[in-house]
Amino acid sequence: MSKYDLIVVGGGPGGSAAAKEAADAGLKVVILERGRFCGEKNSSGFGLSPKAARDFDYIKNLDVPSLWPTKFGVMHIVEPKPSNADRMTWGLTPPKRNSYPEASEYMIQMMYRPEFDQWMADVATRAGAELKLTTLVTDIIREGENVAGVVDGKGNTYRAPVIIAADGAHSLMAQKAGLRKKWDKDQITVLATIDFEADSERIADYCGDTNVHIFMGPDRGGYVCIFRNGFHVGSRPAKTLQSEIDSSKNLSARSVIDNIQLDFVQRLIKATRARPREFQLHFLPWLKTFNERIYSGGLMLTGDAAGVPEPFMAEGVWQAMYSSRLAAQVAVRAHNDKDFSKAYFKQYMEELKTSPVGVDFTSGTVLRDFFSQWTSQTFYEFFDNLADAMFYGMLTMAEPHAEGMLRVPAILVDMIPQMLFMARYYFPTAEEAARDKITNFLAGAKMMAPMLKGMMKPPAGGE
Amino acid sequence: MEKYAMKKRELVTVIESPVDFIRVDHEKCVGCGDCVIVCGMDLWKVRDGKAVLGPGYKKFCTECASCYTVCDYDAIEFTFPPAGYGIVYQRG
Repeated sequence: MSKYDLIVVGGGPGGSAAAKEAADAGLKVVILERGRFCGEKNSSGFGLSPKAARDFDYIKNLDVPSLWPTKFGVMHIVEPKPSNADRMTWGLTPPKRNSYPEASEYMIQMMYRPEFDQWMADVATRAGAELKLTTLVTDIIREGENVAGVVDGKGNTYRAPVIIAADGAHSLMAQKAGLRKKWDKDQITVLATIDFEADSERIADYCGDTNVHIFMGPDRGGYVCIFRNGFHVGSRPAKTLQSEIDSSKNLSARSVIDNIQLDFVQRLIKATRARPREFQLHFLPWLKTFNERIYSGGLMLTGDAAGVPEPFMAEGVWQAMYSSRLAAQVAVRAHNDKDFSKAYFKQYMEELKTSPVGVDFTSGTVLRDFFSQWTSQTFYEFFDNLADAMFYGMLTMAEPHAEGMLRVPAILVDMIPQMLFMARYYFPTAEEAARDKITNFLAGAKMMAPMLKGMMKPPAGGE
Repeated sequence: MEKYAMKKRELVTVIESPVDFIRVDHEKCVGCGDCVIVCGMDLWKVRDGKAVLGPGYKKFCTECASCYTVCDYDAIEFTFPPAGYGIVYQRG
């Protein structure tokens, strides 16, 4: 039997972030990872958002071979099936107005998870944490009402007064501890991705610094992430297992195959002489409400195991790192206070709920609901009008420029119902999401509402 | 491009588990077929009103646990393959 101050189950970015934090604070920590290397079991070829560099100093030194900070992205609004054409594309660039510098430098950092997870594990072991690979936890040890240890598949036992379960969406730890038997069918989605191997020089030539492509459209969605020597084509993540059953179709597998046929993806495949290399299925919590059942005596769930991925953009790595570090901080406090009870660990859940992770989660659910109300007609009309309003006046080559410019007011009037739709839903959404940070925005909304109302008056004489 | 759908089994690397890690309780199974729908690797079939796994499932299962999650009758038991076995993602 081995004794520790803290056992971390799962050697992903969450587990390593927790172990690093606790080891830095002087705790004796072990990470138990079932893979032969960290990241062996992950399938979410991914981008790390700039928030990670803001919140974790060591991320500023991140250096792995596949790492590619994305300067530019492209949003493709695609036609409904059976077409594979873009209806319009928009360039995306890091926003200028930010509360921290990294966010203006890149949108997201692309890299392969096995490289990142091993780099994170090195961060944890350098801080003093022990890493046990090829170790599958199969059961827990109870002491009264508390979880007091774990057993691995070979029968070895590990004891600690605190355990952080960063063991992924399926979380055997959550099941064994009785926190949940399984996710509801409506709380889980599966993301299918196909990794393509491609020539690095051709990728650099064809893509430049544009490494992320997002596809949106009525009943369509997906993405392409581009790495140094390959890229991932991803499925649309906005459907749950329940919706697959309702439609009797495997939507994730179909979606990724559909996305390969998109004109842009076909061009990318041809230009970079790409060949499919790996097929991946990623089990992803897709919750509608914040999961509060993430603690019990001696145990805290973090990351995917806790269901914290943000439900709009499906981001999960920063959430895993943040929630795990918070859990480690609570574990350190628990050691200081010598209290490992369920009542004590409630503070982890409460702090997580009001942390940036919890706030982002709430706004994610609201945003997802907001966009789900967009019918295909709303969707296209809004983007068509916006593009026309922005570009038609100056840039039209179809008509004399002056005539084009004269059309702009009419386009804006056409957009009034859409703006009201935005005011009705988007502003309250933003208010709810941003809470106390919204003053400018609300002032704008308040100013706009009566103006829009005035403009909506029927012309004199009525209809 | 449909060829990629048919080739997906060639695109996974799995170290075949020496033991079963998914089990079906045919007493509980009603043959609803939900596991067939959600399996991204097409490993399930319904035969004679009961869900059955293809004999080669240990060579292709990516361990997503969707089958376990959607089973309303708790007929599917899912554990992970022993440590060191199962799916390997090099480019995850």
